[in-house]
Amino acid sequence: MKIEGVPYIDTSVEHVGVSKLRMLSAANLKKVDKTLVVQDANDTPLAVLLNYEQYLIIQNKFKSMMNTIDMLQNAQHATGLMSGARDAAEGRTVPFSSIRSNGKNTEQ
Amino acid sequence: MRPFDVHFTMFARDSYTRLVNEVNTHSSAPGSATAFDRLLLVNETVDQLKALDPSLDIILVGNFWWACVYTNGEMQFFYNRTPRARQIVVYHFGEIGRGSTSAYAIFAQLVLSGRFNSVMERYGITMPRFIPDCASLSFH
Repeated sequence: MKIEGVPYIDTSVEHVGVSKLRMLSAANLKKVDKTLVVQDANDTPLAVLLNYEQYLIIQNKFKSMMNTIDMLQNAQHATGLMSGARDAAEGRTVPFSSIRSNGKNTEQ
Repeated sequence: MRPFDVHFTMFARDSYTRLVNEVNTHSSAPGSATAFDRLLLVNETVDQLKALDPSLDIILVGNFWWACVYTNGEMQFFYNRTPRARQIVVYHFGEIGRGSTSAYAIFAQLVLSGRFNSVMERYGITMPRFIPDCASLSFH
């Protein structure tokens, strides 16, 4: 967390030159636990390199956010979710196996 | 490892029962294939949920942190998974039915109409200046 007036150094981010990319073999890439900001000779940021798992975390956060916005904008889903949650909180659930059907009056 | 046991809330059960009735009542009527397809899609989605790696659950944010969402085609499920009890409780399911006011639709409209940047700028959100050739990144 940034404190007003105190410089903040994020130790998980490393600013590196383009030459650093040449050193990144498959074995080295696996070991990268920092986010690398690749810069040119004039210190202009060119690219960001982060490991696959970190990228998936960001992607999932984005998915979660978009799905929440979508749900809130769909009255049927928002109402359904709240009604369902109320049922669950009060223990009103049934095993799906007891209601599963393939239609045509044939219940499994 | 024991498979996940799926439970439906009464609300979700009622939706499911309505769907089954729709299939049974209109078994020979035109359009019944749609209800039948939806029923098969719901059954298929339940099977997929049971097999889904819990780490891939998409958890909603903010006040809805207790619910996950799973989308299979046009069908969307809202549920909660308890790995320890090996249980999934489906709160609600329904079709996505994306309208023109969905977040995706609004985002797509803004980008396609070239108004994305101007709308963002109105809220004080601008392109970072340090990015070289910033103009080429404009959403037009």
